[in-house]
Amino acid sequence: MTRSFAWVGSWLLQAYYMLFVAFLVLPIFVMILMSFKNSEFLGFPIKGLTLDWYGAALADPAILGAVATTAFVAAVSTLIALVVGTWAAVALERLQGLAKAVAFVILCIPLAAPGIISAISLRIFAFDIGLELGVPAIIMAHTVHAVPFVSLMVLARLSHLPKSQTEAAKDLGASPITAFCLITLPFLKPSLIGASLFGLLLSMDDFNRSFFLGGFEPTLPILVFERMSTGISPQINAIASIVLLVTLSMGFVGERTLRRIGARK
Amino acid sequence: MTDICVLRDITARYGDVTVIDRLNLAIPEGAFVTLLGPSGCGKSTTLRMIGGFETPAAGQVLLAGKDVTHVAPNHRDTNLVFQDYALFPHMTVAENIAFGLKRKGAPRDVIRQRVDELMQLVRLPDMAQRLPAMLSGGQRQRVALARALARDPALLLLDEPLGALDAKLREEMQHELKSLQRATGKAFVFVTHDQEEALTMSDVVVVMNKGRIEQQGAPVELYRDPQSRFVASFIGKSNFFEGRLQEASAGIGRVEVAGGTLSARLGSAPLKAGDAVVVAVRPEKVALATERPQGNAIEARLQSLSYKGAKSTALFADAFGRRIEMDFNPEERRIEAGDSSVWLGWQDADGIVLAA
Repeated sequence: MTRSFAWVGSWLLQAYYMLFVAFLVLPIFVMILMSFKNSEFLGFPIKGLTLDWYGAALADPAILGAVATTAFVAAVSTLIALVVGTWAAVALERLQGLAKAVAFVILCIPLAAPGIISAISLRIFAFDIGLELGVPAIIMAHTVHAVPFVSLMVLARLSHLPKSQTEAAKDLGASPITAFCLITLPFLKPSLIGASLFGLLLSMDDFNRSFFLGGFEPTLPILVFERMSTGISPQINAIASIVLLVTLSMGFVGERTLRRIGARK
Repeated sequence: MTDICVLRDITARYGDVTVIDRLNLAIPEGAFVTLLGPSGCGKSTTLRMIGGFETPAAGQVLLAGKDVTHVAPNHRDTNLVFQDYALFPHMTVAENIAFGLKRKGAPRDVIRQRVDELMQLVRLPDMAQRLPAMLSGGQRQRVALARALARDPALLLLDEPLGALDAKLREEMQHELKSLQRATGKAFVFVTHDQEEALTMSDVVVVMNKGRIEQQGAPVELYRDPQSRFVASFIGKSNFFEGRLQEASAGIGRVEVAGGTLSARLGSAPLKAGDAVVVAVRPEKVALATERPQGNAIEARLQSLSYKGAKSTALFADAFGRRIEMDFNPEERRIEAGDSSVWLGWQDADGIVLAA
C-alpha cells in the first residue's frame, strides 16, 4: 500500500526543493532583471529592456571612484591580513597546551563580536591613536577583521604539515627562514589563496566598518547606501549586478585554482 | 679505525622523563651501525641528537672530532633519511635531490651532474621530472636516500626508513642499502626495531633498552654471546630456564633449576654461586630424543607444531610449566604429534648463563 504512493513523497520532495531554490535566487534574479528595465520605476510590469543604466553607472565618476576605493581597500587590507594572519598562525602553532588554547581563543574573539560593535570599537580605537577617518582607517579596520579568518584557514592546513618536512629542509642546509619560504609557504598555498579570496570578499562586502571609519571617499556599499536614501533607481541595480558578477567570477576562479593545486598533489 | 661520531655521557629528558641516560657511543668511520631496540627505548632520540634535532640535557656530541652539541641541523655535516621520507611534494624528484646542493650555492651544472649521478646510484633514471606523489613506496625511499646523500655528509642517519615497505621490497632494500653503504664508504647509522633487519645489514649492532645500551657488537657476537636476558630474547629467540647458580668453573656454570641441574657457558658478566640466573638456549640448538640424553635434559610433552618450511617450530611444555621451543627441518626429521613425553637436550656450550 505504502509503496504505490511513494511517488507522491518523491514528487513533494522535488517540489519543495524547487521552491527553496526559488526562494533563494528569486530576489537576486528580480534585482538583475530590473537593472535592464527601461524606466525609472522599479517594479512590474516591464515594458522594454535597455543597457542604459549600465552605461550611466559606468560613466558616473562617483561610482568609479567608489569602485577604485573599494578595490584599493580590499587589496591592501587583504595583503596585510595575509602577512599578519599567517605569522600569527605560525606563532600559535608552536605554542603548547594552555598557552595555545588561550591564544586561539583570543584570536577568535573578533569573529564573535557583532559587526556593529566591532565597527564602533574600531572607530574609538582609531580616534584614540589619532588615526583620521578615511581610507587608511578603513584599511586598518578591514585588516583587523580579516586577520582571524586568515589565521584560522592557515592554521587548519598548518596542522597537517608533517614536522619532518621543515626538519628535512633544515637537515639539507636551509635556515629556518629559507625552510619556511621554500617548504611551509608552498604547502600553505591553497589556504593562502582561499584566505585571500575570502579577505577580498569580506572587505568588498563590508558595510559596518567602512561606514563608521569612512571619510569623504566612500566604498561601493556606502555609496550605494547613500544613493538609496535619495531614491532607488535601476542604476543601483546595475551596480549591484556588476558586483555580483565580479564576486561570482572570483569564487569561480578561486575554486578552479584550488582544484588545480589539489589535482597536482 | 677512527670514530666519525662520538656521543659522550648523553642524557635526554622529555619533561621529567629521562629517555636517554648517560649514553656513550662511538660510530667508527665507514661502518654500518644499527641502533636496535623496542619502541620507546631512545634509539630515535639518539639519532635525532646526532642530527641536531634534539639537544641533549647533558653530555656532548662530537662529529669528526668537533663538538657539535649545540650546532643547528643546517650547520651539521650529517643528513637524515626520515621515516616518512619527508620528500617535498611540490618539487620534482630532481628538485628534491638538488635541494641540499642549492643551499650550498653549488653552480647549476655541478648540481645537474650530481643529481644525475645520484639518480644512477639509487637506480632511478628517467624519473627526474616526476613529482613524489607519482612514485611507488620503494622509489620514494630511493629519492630520500639520494637527497640525503647529495651533500656528501660525513655521516648518514636513517630513521626506520624501511618501515613503510612491504616485506619483499624491504628485503630488497636491505641489500641495496648495504651495497650503497659499501659503495659510498660512508658511516651509516640506522635505527630499527626489527632485529632481522639489524642482523642483515650491520657491521655493529647497538641494542638499546630503556634509554641505555644493553650490548653492542657484531651481529654474530650478539647472537652467540648475548650478555643479558633482554638481548637473548630480543635478538633471535631463546628458551629461558630460571634457576640459581650452584658453581662456576672453567667457564661453565652449573645451574639448579626446577626438576634438575643444567650446565651452560658462563656469560661475561660476573656471577657467583647463589646468584639468581637464567640459562638461555636457542631453539635451533635443542635436540629431541626418546631416551634421556647425557648432560642437559628436560622431559616435556609436545604442545603444538607450526610448519614454516625449512625452519619449522615445535613447542613443548614440561611438568613445571616451562615452554620450550625447538626449531627443526621437516624435510630432515618428522615430529609426530602425540601425548607421550619426550626428552629435550643440548650441549653445554649451546646454553649460556645470564643474570636473571
